[in-house]
Amino acid sequence: MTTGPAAVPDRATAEDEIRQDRRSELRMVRCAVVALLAVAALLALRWGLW
Amino acid sequence: MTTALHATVTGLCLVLVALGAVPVAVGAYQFLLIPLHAWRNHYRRAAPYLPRVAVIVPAWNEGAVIGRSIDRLMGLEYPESALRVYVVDDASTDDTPEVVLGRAARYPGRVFHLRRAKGGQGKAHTLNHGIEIVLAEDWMEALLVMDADVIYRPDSLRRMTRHLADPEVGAVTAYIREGSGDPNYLTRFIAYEYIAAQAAARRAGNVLGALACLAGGAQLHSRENLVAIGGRIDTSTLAEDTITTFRSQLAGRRVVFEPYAVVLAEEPGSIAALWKQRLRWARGNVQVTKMFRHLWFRPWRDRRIGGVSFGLFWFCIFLLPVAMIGSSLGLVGLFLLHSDLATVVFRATWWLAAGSYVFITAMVVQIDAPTGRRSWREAMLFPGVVSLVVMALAFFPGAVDPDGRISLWGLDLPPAGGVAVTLAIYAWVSCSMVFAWLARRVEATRAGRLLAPLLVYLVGYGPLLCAITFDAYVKEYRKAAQVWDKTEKTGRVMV
Repeated sequence: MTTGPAAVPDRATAEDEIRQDRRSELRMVRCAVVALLAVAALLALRWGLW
Repeated sequence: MTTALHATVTGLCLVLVALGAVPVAVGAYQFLLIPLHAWRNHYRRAAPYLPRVAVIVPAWNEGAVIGRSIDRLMGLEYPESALRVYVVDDASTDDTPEVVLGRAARYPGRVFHLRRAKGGQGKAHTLNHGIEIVLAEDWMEALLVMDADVIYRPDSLRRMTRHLADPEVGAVTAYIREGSGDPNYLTRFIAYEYIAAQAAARRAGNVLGALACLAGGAQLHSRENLVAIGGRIDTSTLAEDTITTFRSQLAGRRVVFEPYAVVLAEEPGSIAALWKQRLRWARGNVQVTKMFRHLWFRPWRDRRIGGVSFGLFWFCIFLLPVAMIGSSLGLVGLFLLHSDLATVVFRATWWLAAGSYVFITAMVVQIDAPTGRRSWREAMLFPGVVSLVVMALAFFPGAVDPDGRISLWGLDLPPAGGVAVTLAIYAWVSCSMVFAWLARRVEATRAGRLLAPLLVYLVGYGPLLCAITFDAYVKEYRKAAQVWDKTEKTGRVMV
């Protein structure tokens, strides 16, 4: 079976995709905040238990 | 011992422990840079751009995987007229030529079979054979270097090429994700490691504006960049990917990591295969460190490679085994001189380790959540069960009673005081590398299938990588033969 190329998005769609990927990177801030909260929880556990 | 000598040795021990803590702090610093990627990324200067791409696929006995890889390339969301695949057959002795010639007939004018008469000289020589041919023609505007076994997602290439719309960008790399269809404990560790080392750390590299390495399985270069670095790949070291990355940046062009271009790769499923692959990488890093010795921590020579942060990231990985041994020696020395001071320092360093571990692990599993979910056990146990227990003992000192009994989370263990146990705990970070080496030995035995994974979970995957790096120091020091050992691929990648 010969594989044909998948459809290439048009320019407007591709530009929108770049904007979307750029916005998606805000997720990294959320990841860092959650990770810092996990560290805070560890410290709370430390002081709360002993 | 005289007071002066005593004070000097104590100071030296403290310095060793402090140096051992540097990689932990730098690791946390690197991950703290990642959220800045929300703003400091290259998307503002990216634009839809579909240059004519020549794909070079080095292949030596890749009959099991090459056909499928070519089919996937032919199915990319990329204009048919702008994509050509050149498979450089490194004098394969299996059915690679037949498979590639079959695909060349199936996709006329789009797939080409180039055969080297003499093979086995390594990937760089094989790549250069293909690069020389594509550079001789004007057709190629960008060059994609990949491995024979990797599988590109349909949108990967066009997500990479959009960064080349900016002429300041010389090369782009993708996120290589471990993609074995039948994962085992080791490939799950690698999957987690790749999120940390690629999806996470390379975002930090984007923030700094400098990358250490373009992934060998996904390197897209503009023609101008390829010409600027000499039109060929370095063949003098085992780290051709890293040398190419450094030279691209030294030639004045930027290299970019594109996290949404995902490429799936089959990674080693045994410690022996992993050791072989990583030893090659680690020896390559020793060679790169020597080759660019005039640049490290000299931002006035090159603001990217010579930057302080970049140097810290590089050396904290390169010298991690040294830092671990130094830290153990320092702690043991302090224990012999001032056991009270040793306790305080031990707790402080392991507090730092616990904080970094929680922060980094929590970040990594979120960055690529589906892979993180599949590898959650390996994420938790990356430092190893023993290190986690040591961390817990340092973090919760109340767990150890004054008489030395350990009572933690309901457990009531026999007295753990005594010099031997304390020394073992202080020396653990170094000992873990010895046990990691043992895991490799054990794997070859009849009980290895059961014992080796158990040992890796106990000792940790991180110490296993450090043991390999240490082995690389030894091999480079002894000037051991530089053999190109290809990682065996069986076509286990599942899309």
